[in-house]
Amino acid sequence: MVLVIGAAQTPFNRRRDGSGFRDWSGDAFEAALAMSGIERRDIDALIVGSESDFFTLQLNPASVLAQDLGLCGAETLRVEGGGATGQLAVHAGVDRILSGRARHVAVIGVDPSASTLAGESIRELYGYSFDFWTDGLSGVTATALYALSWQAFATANGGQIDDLNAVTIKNRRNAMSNPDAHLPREHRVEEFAASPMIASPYCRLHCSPLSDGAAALILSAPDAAPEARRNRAPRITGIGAASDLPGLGHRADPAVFGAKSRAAQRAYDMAGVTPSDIAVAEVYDAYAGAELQAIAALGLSPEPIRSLRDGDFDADGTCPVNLSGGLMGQGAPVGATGVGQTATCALMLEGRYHAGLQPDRPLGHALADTHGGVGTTCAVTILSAGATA
Amino acid sequence: MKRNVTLEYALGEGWLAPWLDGLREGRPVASTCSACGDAHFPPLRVCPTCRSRCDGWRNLGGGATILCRTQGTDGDFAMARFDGARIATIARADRLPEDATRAVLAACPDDPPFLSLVTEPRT
Ligand SMILES: [Zn+2]
Repeated sequence: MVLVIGAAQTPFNRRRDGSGFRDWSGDAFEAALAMSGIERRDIDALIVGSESDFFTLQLNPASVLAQDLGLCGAETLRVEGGGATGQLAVHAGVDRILSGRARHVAVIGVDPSASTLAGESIRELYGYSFDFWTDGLSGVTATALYALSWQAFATANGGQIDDLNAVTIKNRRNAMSNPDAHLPREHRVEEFAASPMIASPYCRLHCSPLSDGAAALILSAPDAAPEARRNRAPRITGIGAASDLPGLGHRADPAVFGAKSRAAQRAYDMAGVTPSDIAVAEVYDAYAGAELQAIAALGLSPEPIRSLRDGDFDADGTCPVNLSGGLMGQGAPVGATGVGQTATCALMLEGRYHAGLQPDRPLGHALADTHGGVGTTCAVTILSAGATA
Repeated sequence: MKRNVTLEYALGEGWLAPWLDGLREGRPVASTCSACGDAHFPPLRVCPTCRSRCDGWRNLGGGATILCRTQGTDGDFAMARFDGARIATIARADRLPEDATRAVLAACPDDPPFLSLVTEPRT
């Protein structure tokens, strides 16, 4: 196992204050370092999750961040896997510790996805997230691909527009208690009919926003953690990743996130838990329907749509999903997303999350889930409460 | 601070050249696997059915069946399966009637070419 001795994030939003990704990385890192009880010189490796040099206009971002954070001399590595970038960076950090190559690792996820480029430019860049030579050449957008995948899922599982609306309403309502959230909103059902149709059945209110921000973790080998953190800190007990064919049409069933199921099973096996052990989950809701498809793939409910309608994923439900607001409500600075999800789970397991969102019952295990493409590059992390949390 | 970067790429078409030439000429050219006989459009380098290397190309010639479709401000796109292909493809559908269930590949002389569907001619 690997201890999460420090966890923090900046607000996720559209920055209008003249700050940049180096500022946000520094802010998240300093907060996580302060929580960890270790010093800069104790950090053996810096892993940076950042999706695209086109966002930061900085190749080898880990090198300049190591300089900014006073970590020169440490091993540096940049990780990229589309929307799964942040979670894969966490996995790379965990691997460093489990292999014995590092005792303390800093993981930073960051992307300026909102303020540095015009929305049209970002949309074009995201078009290269899919197989450029086949699907990409049609000019298809992420929203259109997710819409086609959801249509297949809805047909097979009885999903309705009301279910999409309910996911957005739930996540943005949760975001209202999260001071770091990009879109805290109390949506009324009538707003959805007036929202522009982006790719049927997805209207704008079913899409997550583009955000700026950073998140950071300080990971530690158990025997290297400071005494004050050793028992209390939550643990990463399972990691799993898997891939699917990038083309939706190439798959046996475009409705099913098969790689996510494989990634989750690997993480469950490593942690020695089953889906029914998961008390809270941060799930990749790039689009409203993708949350339900992910819940199905993760095995968190055999009937996700019925569970949604029954309120099982609500803040007071049996397995709250996206208490942070998820991508839909908290926001989505791509590289920061997976690191932020893991930080959220860690803070919840330790009882340190935002008042109003911190569950009032003891939590045993939490799950963080991301993917790149439409369920193509999948990464799942399972965290467990510390001994004295 | 403002910074403007203009990039012009020269992309090598490599093993995908027969597929791209087919798009330019309106011919659905699939990669084929002689081990199991499957044809893949869009092309795959390794057959997902039997994991053998695809070792040939075939012009599927015919039309495609529309499986599902999405429309909105992002455009009009369909998932469609070409007759004789094992897998389905994503294509532009903005030149198809709303109720179309069949289509053919449009010739696309643009550079780079793209997948666009048009109404199947009456036979
Ligand atoms: Zn074959």
